[in-house]
Amino acid sequence: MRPVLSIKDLTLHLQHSGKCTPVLSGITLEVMPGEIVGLVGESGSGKSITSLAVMGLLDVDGEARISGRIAVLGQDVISMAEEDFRRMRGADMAMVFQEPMTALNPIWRVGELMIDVIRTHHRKIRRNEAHSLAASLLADMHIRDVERVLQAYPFELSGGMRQRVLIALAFACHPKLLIADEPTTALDVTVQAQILSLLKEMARRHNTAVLFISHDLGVVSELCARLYVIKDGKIMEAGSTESVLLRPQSSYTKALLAALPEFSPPRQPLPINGISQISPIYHQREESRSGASSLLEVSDLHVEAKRKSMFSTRTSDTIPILKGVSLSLRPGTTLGVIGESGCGKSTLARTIVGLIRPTSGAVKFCGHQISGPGPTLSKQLRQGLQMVFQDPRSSLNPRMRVWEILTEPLLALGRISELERRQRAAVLADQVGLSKYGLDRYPHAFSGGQRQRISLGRALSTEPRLLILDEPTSALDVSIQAQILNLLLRLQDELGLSYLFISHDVSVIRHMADEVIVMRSGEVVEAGRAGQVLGSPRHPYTRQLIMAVPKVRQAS
Amino acid sequence: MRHVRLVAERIIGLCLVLLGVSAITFAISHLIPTDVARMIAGDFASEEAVAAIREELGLNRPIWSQYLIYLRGLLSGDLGVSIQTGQPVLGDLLRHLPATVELAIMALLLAVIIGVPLGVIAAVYNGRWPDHVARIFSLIGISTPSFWLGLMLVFFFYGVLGWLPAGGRMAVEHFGFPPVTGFYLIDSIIVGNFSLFLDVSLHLALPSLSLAFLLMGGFVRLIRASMLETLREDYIRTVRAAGVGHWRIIVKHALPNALVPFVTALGLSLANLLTGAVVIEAIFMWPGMGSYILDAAAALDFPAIMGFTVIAAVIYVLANFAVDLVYLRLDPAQERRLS
Repeated sequence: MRPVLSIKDLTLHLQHSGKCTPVLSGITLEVMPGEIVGLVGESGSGKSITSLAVMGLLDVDGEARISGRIAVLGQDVISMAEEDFRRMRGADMAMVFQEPMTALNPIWRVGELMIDVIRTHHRKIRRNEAHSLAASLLADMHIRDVERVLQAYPFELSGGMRQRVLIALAFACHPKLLIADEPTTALDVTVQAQILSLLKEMARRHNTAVLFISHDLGVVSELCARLYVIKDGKIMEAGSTESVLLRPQSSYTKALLAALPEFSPPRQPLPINGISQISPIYHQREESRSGASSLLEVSDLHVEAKRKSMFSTRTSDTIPILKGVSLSLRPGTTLGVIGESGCGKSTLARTIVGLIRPTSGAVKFCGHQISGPGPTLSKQLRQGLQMVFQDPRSSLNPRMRVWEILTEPLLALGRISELERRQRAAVLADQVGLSKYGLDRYPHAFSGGQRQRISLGRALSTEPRLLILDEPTSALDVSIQAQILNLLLRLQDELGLSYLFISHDVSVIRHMADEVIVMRSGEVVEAGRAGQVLGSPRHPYTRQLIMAVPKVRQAS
Repeated sequence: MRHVRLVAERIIGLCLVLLGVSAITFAISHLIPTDVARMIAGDFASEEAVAAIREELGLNRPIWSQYLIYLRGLLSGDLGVSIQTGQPVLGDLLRHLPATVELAIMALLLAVIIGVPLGVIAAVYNGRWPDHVARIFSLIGISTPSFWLGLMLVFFFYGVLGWLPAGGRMAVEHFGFPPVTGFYLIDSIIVGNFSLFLDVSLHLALPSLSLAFLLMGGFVRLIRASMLETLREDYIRTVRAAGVGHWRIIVKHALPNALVPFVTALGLSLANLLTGAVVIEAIFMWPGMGSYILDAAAALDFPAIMGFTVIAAVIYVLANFAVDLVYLRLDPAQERRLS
């Protein structure tokens, strides 16, 4: 049997303004007909570049120098004329990308776009034939109201629905090779499970070879027969999924597996680069845990969004976001908030810190009412409550130096000299493990993990008692996530902090939280001790959520 | 239904803008230290005569009452009587309006027809020679004063080559032709006079080209920038991965998206167009609003100046309303943001 995709010794250098950077070195991989093969790596490993090189879609600043061989269906695509290559794209080989929210043109109806693509490859097909072909493709994706989706603009569809449309588009001409580049990373776990089974089904039915690119070991473990592990443009390890995940040979794969929160006992530091970390002594924690009064108390919180209009004052134009959320957080502990996108978990965080005004209900912090229809948060109380956001790329001002960012919250508290600010910044940087970096630099000089340390340092600047962490590690790689989680555990121990930890990731919450609330459509469906809720869930939704999480095969 | 509400909101907005414009022009005209009554009466008129005129014009009343009278006039379409021509200002403006609108529309069309393709080509060949050519062209367009360009065009095409007329809207032999709509291109088609149509087109060529040049450079830059941004979008990668052809992607999948910000700029460039027309009309002896308002300004003809300002504001608001409607066509997701 001949491989559908065969990459031999692919090396790629980027030539940009006199500098020559190696991106890929000696990539060799094969995908057989009907086989689903995983290419696993962290960001910057070269996995996406590899897939774009196969598709001939490399679009880089400067010049890309390629050597080696990429053969699709036995044809060398590197030396192929662009027009012939274009005809292969979409017909023999297709691709599904990560971000379904932006991958569809906002001003094209779904049906029009599908017809346009179908007619690109089948010139003789009439419009109405192409239309019915598009309808049957969507029906294959288990979409029920096919005609509505064909008439819809992308903004009228959910992320999961858009990804179905994009998969249908990729299968429009029954390609022999499908490259899926993190196709479910932007989706909720329950939707992810549906999309993965869909991909599996389509690949089996059409005997399509699939190169599945992902950073998520759980996903590839459930989906792929074989794996390639890639780092810094080199294949570190290859083999059957079982052997790679159960008996990893390379130290990188071992470290990657060890960094997963699900393989460590809760609240123990995660191994970094495969090296176990010393666990902190939980002295302060145990004391404060016994304290009866709660630090944060949210009772029956309601938030409604209003549609804005010049005329309308109708009250029917309000959409409920939070429908009576209650929670209580004891000092020195972590309360995990888990739920899928749109469940209101970020609104909850924003309401607690006072960025959103609730319609009714109360938020009590240290026994004082801080949010609600009544008086606003006083400066002194606000100091004790800080927030860390999800994406450290967009939550740091690119025009401020790091020491300025770290100490900016102090400006709101009163007069402070530049010298004092710089001294404070140095202390904070030390706390979050940034001490050896120049604090006069701007955020762009720092990596994603370092930037999240900066956000954390900024939140710590006012010496808060409570941190609201809104998906603090969701934009980070597994190994970086492990570092940040360890840091959070250490800070909690050293400073006696309390966390409200919001995440969609069950294993992260299981690792970090003492208590958990599960949210769905603005309501708390289940609450309790973390081990209990996530170990033996009572509510069907919690069960569904936990079942949907792809699990890495483990040696039993 | 949502469109109805959108239109209703815009009409209310238009009324508010007009109220503001009328108040400001009224205030300015009263801040300028000239005695209108004295101007009308002439330098040698007696004090009694001047006082009589002042009484007749209502200049003795308190200022708010004068403004209310002015507003009441506005509502019934009465913009006052021009000091210079002795005719109602509204009639004067409407007589001059078609010439300017014809010139402006031609200029806008030329600027779009030349500027948009140039911008697209510059973006597609980003960094290569067609891009450099287009950018130099746009730089020249932006930095050349339109009066100088107009004079150069006259010098070259009329003076040296003798191909095109130097000014006016039509040749002497067509004078006396009774206008139907005032838009001579349309009028000549209505009456079926081909030689007149050709003559009017030739007369339009130089002034509209000079005026178009004023806008074109900006258009090229704008289209280039928004096209470059659009070509980097994920959805363009999607259709590239699906094998759709290069130019089809550019024209059908990218250009309509790139035009969205451009349409906004079109509405805003109307201000440039109107002020630019004043200069161009003076050079080419174009009997439009520009020439009229230039004369009015020189003669301190306040009713005419105020009337022009109000009319210009109406045109501006209406044009930007039209832009919003085009927006809805171009980007269906905008509807929620606008309404």
